[in-house]
Amino acid sequence: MSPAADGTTSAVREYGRTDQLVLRLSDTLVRWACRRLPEEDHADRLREWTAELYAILDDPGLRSATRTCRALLYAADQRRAVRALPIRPGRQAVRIGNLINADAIINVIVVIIGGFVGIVVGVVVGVGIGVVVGGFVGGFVDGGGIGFVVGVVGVVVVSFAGVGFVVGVVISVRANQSRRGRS
Amino acid sequence: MTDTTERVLRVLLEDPTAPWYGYELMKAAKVQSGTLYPMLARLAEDGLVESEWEPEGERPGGRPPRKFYTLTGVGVATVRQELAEHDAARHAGTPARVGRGTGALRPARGGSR
Repeated sequence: MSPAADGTTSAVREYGRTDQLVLRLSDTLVRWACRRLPEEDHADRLREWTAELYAILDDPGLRSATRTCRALLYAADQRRAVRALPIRPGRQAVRIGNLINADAIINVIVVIIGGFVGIVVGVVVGVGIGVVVGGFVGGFVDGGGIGFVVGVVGVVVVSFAGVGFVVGVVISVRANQSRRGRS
Repeated sequence: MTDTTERVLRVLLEDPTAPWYGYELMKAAKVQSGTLYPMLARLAEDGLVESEWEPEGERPGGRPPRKFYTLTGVGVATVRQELAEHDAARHAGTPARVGRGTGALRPARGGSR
């Protein structure tokens, strides 16, 4: 069968509402798949695959429902095609993973978690010490000394939180450095 | 050579000068689009297949132009040889070369274009 003579490309017809919807859906799927292509291939493939959608919907050998299914399957399968297309030397497909340095993100997350853990530990220790100090001081002073106790507790809590944060960050950074050194 | 590659190549070799559009190749070789285009891209990288855009005058009604594929001269020679070897191996009962995609296909030496 010679494709140029099979009649699928010669007939022009008005697309009904269903076909228009199918075209739009399929076109969206193809565009979605093409987003992963390198810039230099993107327009070419999009143009080629979109044109084939029209050919599928114009295929006189198929029933309307079959044409619809085929167009949608064709479009959906282009995602697989894009994944399997050979990447030209020196060029990389546009993927989110390529745009973002995953290692840098992990480092930031680890540092934040480390700092947060440091703050929590600092607060717990600070409050514990504050309670002990408050109890001890409370045994010697009356109500007028409560302000003093609260102040001491506050200073201790903030100090420990700060120290905890710094310690957490330092530990996280060192852990990251040793991890990078191993890899 | 995989079964799928073999089917596509046999279709292309039926009439080596005929332009084949992706959808027609899919139908004739019973291949899915997700398999066909990477295969055609590899064949093109190996210089066995070339593609061209449909000429302006052949697309009525403002329909977008389609891309068609044909075997190159080197492609015809290579594919013919490969398929002959493949058939001979099959008839002799020896296992045919199996490769991933078109990996087992390389342009025949001394071919033109």
